[in-house]
Amino acid sequence: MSDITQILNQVSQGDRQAAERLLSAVYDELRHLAASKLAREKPGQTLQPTALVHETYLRLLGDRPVRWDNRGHFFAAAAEAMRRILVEAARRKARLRHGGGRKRCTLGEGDAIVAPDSVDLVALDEALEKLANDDPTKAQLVKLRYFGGLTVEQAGEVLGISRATADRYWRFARAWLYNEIRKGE
Amino acid sequence: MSNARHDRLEEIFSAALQCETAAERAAFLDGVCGADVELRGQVDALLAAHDRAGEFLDSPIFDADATVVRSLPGPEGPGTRIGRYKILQSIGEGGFGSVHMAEQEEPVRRKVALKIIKLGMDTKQVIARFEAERQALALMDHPNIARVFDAGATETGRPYFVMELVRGIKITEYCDQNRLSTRARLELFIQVCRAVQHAHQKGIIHRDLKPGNVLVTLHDGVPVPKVIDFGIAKATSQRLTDKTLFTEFRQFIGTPEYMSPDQAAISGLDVDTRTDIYSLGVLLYELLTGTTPFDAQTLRRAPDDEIRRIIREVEPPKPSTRAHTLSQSRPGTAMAGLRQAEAAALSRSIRGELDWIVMKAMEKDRTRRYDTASDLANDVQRYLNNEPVLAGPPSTCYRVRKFVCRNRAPVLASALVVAALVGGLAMATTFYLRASAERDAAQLAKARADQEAARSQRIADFLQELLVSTDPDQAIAHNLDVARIEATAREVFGEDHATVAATLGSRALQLQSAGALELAERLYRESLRIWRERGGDNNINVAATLRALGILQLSKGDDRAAEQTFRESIRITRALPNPESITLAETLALLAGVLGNRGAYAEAVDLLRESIRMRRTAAPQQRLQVAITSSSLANMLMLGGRETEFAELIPELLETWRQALPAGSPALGRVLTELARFHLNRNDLAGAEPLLREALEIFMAAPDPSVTHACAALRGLAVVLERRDDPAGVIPLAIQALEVARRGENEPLARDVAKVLANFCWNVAKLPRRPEAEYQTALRGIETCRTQEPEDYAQLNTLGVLQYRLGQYADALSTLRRCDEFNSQQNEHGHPTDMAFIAMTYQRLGLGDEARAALVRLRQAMQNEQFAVDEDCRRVAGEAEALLGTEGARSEGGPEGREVGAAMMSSPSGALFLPRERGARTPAQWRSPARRVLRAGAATCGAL
Repeated sequence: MSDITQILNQVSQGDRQAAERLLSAVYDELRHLAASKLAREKPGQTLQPTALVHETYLRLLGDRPVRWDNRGHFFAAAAEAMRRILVEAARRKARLRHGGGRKRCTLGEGDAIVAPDSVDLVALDEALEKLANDDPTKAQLVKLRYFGGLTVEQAGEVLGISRATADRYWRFARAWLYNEIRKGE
Repeated sequence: MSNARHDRLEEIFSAALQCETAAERAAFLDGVCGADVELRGQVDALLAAHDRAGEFLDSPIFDADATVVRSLPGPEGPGTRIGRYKILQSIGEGGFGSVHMAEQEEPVRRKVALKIIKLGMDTKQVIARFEAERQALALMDHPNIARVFDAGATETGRPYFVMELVRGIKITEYCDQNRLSTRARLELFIQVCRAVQHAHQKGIIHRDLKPGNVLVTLHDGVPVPKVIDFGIAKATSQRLTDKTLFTEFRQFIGTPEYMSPDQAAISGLDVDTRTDIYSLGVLLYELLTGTTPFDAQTLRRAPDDEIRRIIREVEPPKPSTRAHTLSQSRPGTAMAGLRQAEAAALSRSIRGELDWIVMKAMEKDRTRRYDTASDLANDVQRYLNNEPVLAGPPSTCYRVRKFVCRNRAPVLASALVVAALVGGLAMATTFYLRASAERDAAQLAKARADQEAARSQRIADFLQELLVSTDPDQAIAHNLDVARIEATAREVFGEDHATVAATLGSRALQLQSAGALELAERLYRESLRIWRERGGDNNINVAATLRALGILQLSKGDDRAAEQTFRESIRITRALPNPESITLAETLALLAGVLGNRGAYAEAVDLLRESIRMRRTAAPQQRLQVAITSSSLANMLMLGGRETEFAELIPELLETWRQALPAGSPALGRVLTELARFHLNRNDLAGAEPLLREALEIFMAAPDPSVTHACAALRGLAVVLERRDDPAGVIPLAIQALEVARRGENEPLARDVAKVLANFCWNVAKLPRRPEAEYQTALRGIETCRTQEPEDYAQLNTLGVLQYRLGQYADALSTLRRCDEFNSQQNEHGHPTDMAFIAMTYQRLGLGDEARAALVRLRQAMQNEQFAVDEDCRRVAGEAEALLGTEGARSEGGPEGREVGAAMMSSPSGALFLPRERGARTPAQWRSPARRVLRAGAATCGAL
């Protein structure tokens, strides 16, 4: 029960290994939760990422008071975990489309967490990787905002940059990614 | 691309976006890019992308909006039809959803505002709640209220509201843009009050009054305020339950600045028209000062409980004080367009009566607020007419009582999780008590303490008024520096250093709660310096001020500094001749909190033990403090993994809480539940059960039954009873809880309880061969739930399973087929919990072919890996396999079956027609070979 609080404290002290442990704890819990929900609720149910992440938060942290910066670390990890789950699902779907397979395939958690049609997650993920090479901060900002559901300002707080800078970075990263994805099309 | 080049690209891009015209932009780019064609190309591409990107990535994938099921169309754009309305253009976006201008054609042609609520809310509930208020809403007819015409659901299932179209801007923006005088602002405000009064008379509470919901439009050049969104907050409000607590909080964090203490209460159930009076008070505050009473940043940084605490307990600075502070500490930001001298004049003009009016409207205790919006409007009008107002300055006696009340607040804090900051509250009181008394408050007679506190308070108030009023222009010019405050204080109090230091301390505390942390810290340090100068380091006041400073550092998130500061405070206190004091006990607990934060549990435990011992000797009457500290100790023991010591502490802890809280207090119930949870973890059923039963009794008997907490106790009891092989035992209790929740007319809450109850019923239904009485009980439970949620297929399934268990096969079949009809649309092979029991029901009815067909579908459904790993699905699938395997083989295991079996072996595609296996099979046997077949099926299905 104390684990996560402790890990969060270690993360806020800059412990890199703790960050990995946090991510894997959040990732496991998210997957587990999505899987058990899918089984228990009736099929066809669409899971809402927001609800999933919040429930994960509740399960891992309960109603203990958590400092805002620690909460930021949690959401950063949740954003990364959710990105992995969704991108995995998107890749699986893309493989099935191209591989000529028919519609029967096993249902993964990510399939029931539905992304908006307008964004090609696989392309976005590749573009994000590229951006991260040049500019890890901006890529992280996008992850926090898009996959983590934080506002630009909150994401800025997690990254330790001012609101104005965060806004500027956001505009740039958005344009850069848009451009990159279109280039690929 | 190298990083330097990437950074350069970003710089140019951002700067180019700042250019106002295309020509300006081109000139700028020509200048910075020069001959670097590649760079220019990249910048141009990015700028073009920026222009074309539209809504790309705008809403997070996390936003409920983005999680629409694939088949649903995207966000509503111009031209989309929603019911009778055609969307013309989008007006705005917000946390709640989006607003559009739309055209209604029938029965009248008019333009309306259409507000579409985000997905993620329960559409049916939202609309039901709206319908409940529709008649009342229709009765509202007031020129300052925007009418709400209609509500419905879009094709994508999102609720929407149709309202009178108001073309206006936020009242605060309007006032600032037009630089309205205080008088003009008050006149607008009076109209808003009258509108709210009208609604209140029709029985409608707004619940979400804030500048964004009070728009100003011009009618023939005359500004007219319009209150929008009446009835919507109520329809879209969701109750806090343990499940939605966090989600709710994220919505709640949007505008906690305007939320009344009544609404911020965890239950938030008991809200009446006076919640709007509070919000009107905040609106008036903002109209007068340009800012809200509590700093939005401070609220945002605080943990959830702390935000609630601030709203419910912290006294905001008076508007005049706030206006003054803001004009100095953040010139030009908060006071839009106001010059400093103007700000000072403003501060003077609102001091006194307007302060009193605002503070009366914003009283924490709603019985002390204005009774009606009309009373508030009339008092503002009296002020404008230069008549004496009803509101007055709070009396000293009242304030002292409030301090004492606030000291009791930690009762509300969660039992085992007591944030260090809650301790800060108690400290704030004692700081006042002690600072000028220079004596240990514990040893002062209570009357004496009150007197001293009152004196301190009076002095502090007086000096604060003084600091604001004495030559404010000059003070502002010096930007409120510490030296000046001190000089002014000295001028007034002569060489009474103690008073000066105490005053600085109390001023610091006020600044701290207003969010001016840096300034507060400087004042604390100055206060410290004076105390030290006067009495040296070893002085109780130095210790007390250090502790206050430590709490401030804690709220800045600087734990390391706070730890040092607390340690120093403790060191000084220990060196005093009589160190056994409450002060020390409190500081020890604070330090323990900081240590706990960084995982140093061992030391924290020692400190807390000492703190408790000290409290017991020094102030045995303060039982609550002892209890809270004991809980912290328990918490640290648990966090530190010292289970045995924790277990030893439990009886004592329980006894302490029983002494500290009145019998029947819900807080006691929460403590009991928490402790029971620990017993449960150790599988100590006998320990857990009485605690849970007592807690449940308390929750149900409370005047405002805490059904949410009752659910937690119920879940605990369910576990206890289940382990005692009495899975149905909890159901009658849950039925009772549901009835209580329904009496409270709180639908979402009742729905949550119903879910819990339904789950208990399923836990009985899924077990074969239980006594019939248990199934009957579960049946009664599920029927109680279902009056509420007739469309819930999980509950319907449980009903069907129970009918099967009770031998009502015809009913079971029709119920389960209804479930399957629904579930097959979701998943082609249906849901295992339906299919398993359909198969078994057919079997019992002697319909072998149908039973086998259902079994085939069950196996196909079980290929879904979610179901394959789910314990319940596997359990019921196993039961069906066993039943059909045994009885099927015995009664009709003809050659046909064997043929199919052979076909399956030779052709992988036959897996889809998976046959009966010979002989009886237990679920365990079933698992392995069948899974192999399932896997084969999965591999081949692509080829089919």
